[in-house]
Amino acid sequence: MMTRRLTQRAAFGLLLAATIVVVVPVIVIIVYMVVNGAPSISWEFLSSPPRMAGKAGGILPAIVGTFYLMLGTVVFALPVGVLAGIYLTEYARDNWLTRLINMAILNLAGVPSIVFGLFGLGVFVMAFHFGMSLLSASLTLACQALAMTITTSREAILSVPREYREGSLAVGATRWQTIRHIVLPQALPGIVTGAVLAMSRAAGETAPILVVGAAFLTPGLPTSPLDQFMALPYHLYTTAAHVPGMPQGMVWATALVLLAVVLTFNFTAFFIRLRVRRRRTNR
Amino acid sequence: MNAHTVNVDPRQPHLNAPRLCSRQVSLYYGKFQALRDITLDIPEKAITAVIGPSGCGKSSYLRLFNRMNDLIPLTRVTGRVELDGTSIYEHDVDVVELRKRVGMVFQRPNPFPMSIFENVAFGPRRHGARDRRELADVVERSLRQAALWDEVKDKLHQSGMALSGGQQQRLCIARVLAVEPEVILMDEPCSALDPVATLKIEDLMRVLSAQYTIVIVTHNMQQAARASDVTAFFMMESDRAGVLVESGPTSEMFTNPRQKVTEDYITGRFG
Repeated sequence: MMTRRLTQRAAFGLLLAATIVVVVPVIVIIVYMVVNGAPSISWEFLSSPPRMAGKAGGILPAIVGTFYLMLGTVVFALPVGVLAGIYLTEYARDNWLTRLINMAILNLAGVPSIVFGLFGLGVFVMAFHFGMSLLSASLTLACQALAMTITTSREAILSVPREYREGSLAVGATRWQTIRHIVLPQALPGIVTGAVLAMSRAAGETAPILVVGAAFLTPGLPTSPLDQFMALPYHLYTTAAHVPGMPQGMVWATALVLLAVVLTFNFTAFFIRLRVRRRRTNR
Repeated sequence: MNAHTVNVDPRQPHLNAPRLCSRQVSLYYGKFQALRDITLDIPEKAITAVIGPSGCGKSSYLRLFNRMNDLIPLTRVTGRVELDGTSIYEHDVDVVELRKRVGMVFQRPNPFPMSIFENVAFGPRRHGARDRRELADVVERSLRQAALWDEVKDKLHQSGMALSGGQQQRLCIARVLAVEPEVILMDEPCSALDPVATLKIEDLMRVLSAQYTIVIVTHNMQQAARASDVTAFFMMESDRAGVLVESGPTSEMFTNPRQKVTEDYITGRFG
């Protein structure tokens, strides 16, 4: 008896220790960032362009560039993702080709991001002549985000109860009408969640944009999709690694802003999902 | 006086001309045979009840008539299923048009997550109705026909999901009536309802049967006895394929069944 209870205690202790090992570093990192970065954050830091290679001034162009990137990514990735999701769930027959496509989509999520960057460089920058630009970077990040938007759209569409579809078909609605008027409205929150997560990931990517258009310094804010741009993660990388005499507080402050952007989007997705789950269970 | 009109019960719906019929129909899901050689006539403007133990293929049989089984992959139908003498399993059959003529009410009430008005207007809208007043007329007429109008007329723009289970089911019936079908298929429409709500639906079926051909699947024997004109009894064979044991006027089926197994089932000895 005693040994069984001891074993249980040991097991619980181990599980608790593992949890602490995961959680504590996260908290330490966030606290460290806030303590070191918060003093450097000011209105001027957020609203003015960098001066002296980033050693003074602010990060406005990087913030704006990151938001443009997120927008560009979602504009390309969302429609394609939703349409592919609809096709794969509602129309594609379950055969070897469909299964191959599904497997390819899953693997797309595992492709290293620098590979997407090189793909973007070859296709969008060079072959399509979009050059090093916001457009090339958005398309590159959209390719990477497709795995997520397709998968979340598919799951959202599949989670719409069969009863609704049958009820709609049973009054003589066509399959497309059923999708358009019954399935999509129900799946929308799930689809939006996927889009928001894709945007937050696009905000954090550094490697792919490095080779397709991100610049260390630009002479102003981008005015066209074909302009080069600054972005928070790339700005963070260059100022932290390549600017001698860079004030550390400003590096931490940039990191803090980036983290805030990403976490805001992640929490948005989380709350959308939570609300939908509540609504589903209340019925 | 014509001898023919004397002593004849004016209401013998089981003698009405067949509207739907199946001839030697078998249904397969992949390799599994769900129905075997079902031959049955379903009379017009009458209520036909399909009864039998769970898993005997009653629902599968019902779903043949609006081709709802098509949604399940690897489904195969042999034999002939007819609506008004025309086979409905030909390549040129417009399934959407068929489902408009042959409506269906499901086991669990399935109102759409939208207002009562929009639930009923859903079918007409999909078939091209645009005019607001016309739609309002259709919604009112359908809700009246489904005996729901008085209960919901002041809250047409509230969610259909907020109604009670019985009201939801009548809303689903109204939704079907709104596209003016000729046949209404009901797949255990009362199995999720309390006894009072069940009786309301049965009364409603009785009224509707003056105008519509109704087929109802039920595992509730009293319901079949109370509410139907014709009863068809299904059983499964040793390989779990459903077969039709016998069918006939409900009064005869319940008082004087021809087969021993029918008698055993309706007296509750199994099932």
